[in-house]
Order: sequence, then structure tokens, then C-alpha cells
Amino acid sequence: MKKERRASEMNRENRGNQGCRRKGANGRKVTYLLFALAGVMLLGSTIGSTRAALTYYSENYTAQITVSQIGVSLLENGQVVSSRDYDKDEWKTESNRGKDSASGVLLQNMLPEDKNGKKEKLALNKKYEEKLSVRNSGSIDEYVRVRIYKYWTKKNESGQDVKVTTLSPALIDLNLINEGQWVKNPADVAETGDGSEKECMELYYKGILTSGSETAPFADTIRIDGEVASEVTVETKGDTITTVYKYDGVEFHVDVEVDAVQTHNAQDAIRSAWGVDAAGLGIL
Amino acid sequence: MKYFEKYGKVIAMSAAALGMTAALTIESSLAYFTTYVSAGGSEVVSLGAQTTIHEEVSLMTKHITIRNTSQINDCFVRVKVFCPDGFTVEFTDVSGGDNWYEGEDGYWYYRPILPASTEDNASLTTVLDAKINVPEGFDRDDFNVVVIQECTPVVYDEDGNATADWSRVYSEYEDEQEDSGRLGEEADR
Repeated sequence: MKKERRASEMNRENRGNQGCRRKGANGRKVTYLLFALAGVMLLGSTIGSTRAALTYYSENYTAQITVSQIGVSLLENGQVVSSRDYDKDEWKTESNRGKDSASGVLLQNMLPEDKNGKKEKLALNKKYEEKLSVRNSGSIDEYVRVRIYKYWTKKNESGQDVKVTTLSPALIDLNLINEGQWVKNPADVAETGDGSEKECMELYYKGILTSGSETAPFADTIRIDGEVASEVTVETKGDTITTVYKYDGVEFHVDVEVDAVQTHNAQDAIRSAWGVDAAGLGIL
Repeated sequence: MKYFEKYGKVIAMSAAALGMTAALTIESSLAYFTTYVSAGGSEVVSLGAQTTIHEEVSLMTKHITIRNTSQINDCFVRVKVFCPDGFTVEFTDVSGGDNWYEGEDGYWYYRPILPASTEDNASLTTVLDAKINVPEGFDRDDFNVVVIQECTPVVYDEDGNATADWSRVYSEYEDEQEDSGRLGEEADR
């Protein structure tokens, strides 16, 4: 009985070894098959790229993409006084004061020169040309506003300029024109209903100022009102009576700021930049 | 688990607050394309013209000239002669031109602008002669004839023509610094 059992166990082992040998052969077949497939795929990919290389292609073209570059310039009597443009990833500022100076000089040619190169004296009530406008010197369209500051100063005993608050800014008569295109801030108009004038005035350009174009001027002349010579004191010394003008030697100032903002999403952009309701102002 | 049950609400609220703060940051970081430029200018206003009168007397005639002593400001000038009752004055523009003319108010006006003097050259009017005619029967030893002169700044009218505003009545002004108590009056003098 023992011998028979032993024989049957051996037969079983032999059958098992045969099965393992068959399974190993099948596994190798799959491996070879996959290897061949990988080889074919690799070859196929090479062929594909060869095909791509062989396809006809056109000449090279250079495409220039212009990114949004905003810029604005202030002009006085047709000459650029000051500009600030975004160009090639940096701000480019230029003014008649010099390169890299963000603030220009106004009124430097207001008084004409005589034959000897001496400047004419400032005359009261005389109108001098002062044509002020704005140019879009950037590559995108924009909305524009200007702020005009008018005030008086006088040198004190130590030679410093101090503001004269008893003289009205209205005596500096910067004649504003094209009021259909330049809208005054209604708040300024409401505050100065009595005929007086604020030190700062805001004007908004109605509509979009397209790239490269220039606005109609917002001012054309400047005049100092003769009223500035109305306050005097009289000094009597012997036979001579002398009038001393209260405001002799005062200096008038005109400062102009120009702000520009993008036209995309204009309502929000203007509110963010200038703090006003553009639609309410009627400038959109 | 107990920890989350206990502090879960606080953590959730903190997370919400943080989220809202972050959202605010996102809002403010939204940028718009903007730019600006500025420019400014100024000019001094000089007002104080000063004039002096020069008189020479000969043969009962006063030879009157006015000098603008200011080196800055141009001006217009005028003179008036006061004399006792019964006396008459004859005026003559010595230059022979029409530089001097008589106004309706008794003043004699110098027509051209009297420019500011320079360092080399004093600015003078042409001579105006005032011949005094003494009435017959005048028996006193002496009498006074007074000449006053006034100047006013050059101003311009709407057409850009230089003009003198003699009608201006100046407002009262008390000089606080000098504390003199003097008040300005009519003051185109």
C-alpha cells in the first residue's frame, strides 16, 4: 500500500512540473510579444516624426504683440510740456524741465521778449496765450481728466514762499473753453455758485481719447485781473504822497495735473482711480 | 473627535474670517491701467510804480516834468495845478506835439506810457509849461501855486490796448504790520 501511495505522489509531482514548464513558456511568449510591440511602436513613432519633418512648411513670420501701454502728455501752446508713458516694461517720463522729470514747467514763455532778449513786464488785464490740451501718447485708448490749481504766494522775511489766502484764485483768469467737451466737476460748480472760485478745479474730458489723438484745448488765454492792484495804503512824506500796493510782489501760480485711466471696464476703473461716478458725470 | 466637536465651530468661523479677509485682499489688488503728468508755472506781479515831480520856475512859468523812478513798472501820469482865485494858468506842451492833453476834470494827462527807468536812463515826460497870469490889481507880496502829480499802473482793456484806469476807487486797507492806522482812500495817486 505504501509503495502504491508513493508512486501516485510521484506521478502527481511529474504532472505539476510539466504544467510549470508550460506556463513559463507562455510567459516568455507574452514578454517577447510585448517587446516586439514596443519595438514596433518605437519604430512607428520614429516614422511619425520623420513624416512631420518631411511636411512642407512656410517661411518664418514674426508676430509682434502689443501689450497695453498707457501714456499721456500735457501740451502748452502746441508743445509737449510733460509726458509719462509706459513703454517696454518701464515708465518713461519726460518734461521740458529735463529727462526723467515727471513735472514740467508752464508759463516760461508767457511774456514775450524784446529785441534785447529782455522779457516784457507782466501787465494787468492783458491776455496772454496759454493754450492747454492733452494728448494720448500711449498705445491704448483712455479717459482723461485735468486738475487745475490756481493760487498766490509771497516771499516772507526769510525768503520762503508762503500762500496768500486773502487773494482770490479768480483773479488768475485762466480762460476755460470747449466746455461742451470738458465737463466741470458738478461739485465744484455747486460750491462756487456765488461767483467765487476754488483753488482746485476738475475738468473731465467727455468720451474716449483714442491712442495718438489730442483733445481740444481746455484753456486758451491767461490774464491777471487788475483788481489785484485795488488795495493800497497811502503814505505822506513831506510834499510827496506815495501809494503802496498791498499785493506788490505777489506771485501767481498755475499748476495742472492730468490723469488718464483705461477704457476697459471704465466705470469701475474711473471710480477706483478718481473716485467719481463716470456715468453720472456723463463722460462715458 | 471630541476635540473637533469642541472646537469645530471656532475653527470654521476662523477659516471663514480668513477667507473673507483674503477675498478683500484680492479685491484691492485688482489694478487698472492709469498714468498722470503734471506741470506748474508762476510769475511775479509787480505793482509799485513811483514817480517824482520836477519843477523849474522862470518868468512866472512853471516847467513841469515827471520822472518814473521805478525800475520795474511802467505807468501813466497826470498833473493838476491849483492857484488862488482870480489867477489863470496857460498850459503849453513844450515838445510841440500832443503828449499832454487837458481832461474834463482839470487834470493834464500825459498820453504815452511812462516806462520804468533803467540804470542808465531815467524815464521822463516831456516838459509841460504852466504860465501863471496874475490878475490886475493883485497887491500881495506872495502867493502859492500848487502842482500835484499822480500815477497809475498800466492796465489793458478787452481789446488788448494799454489804458489807464483813473476812475478806480481803491478799497480801504489798513497795513497791519506797520500799525500806522492810515487808511487807503481814493488812491490813484
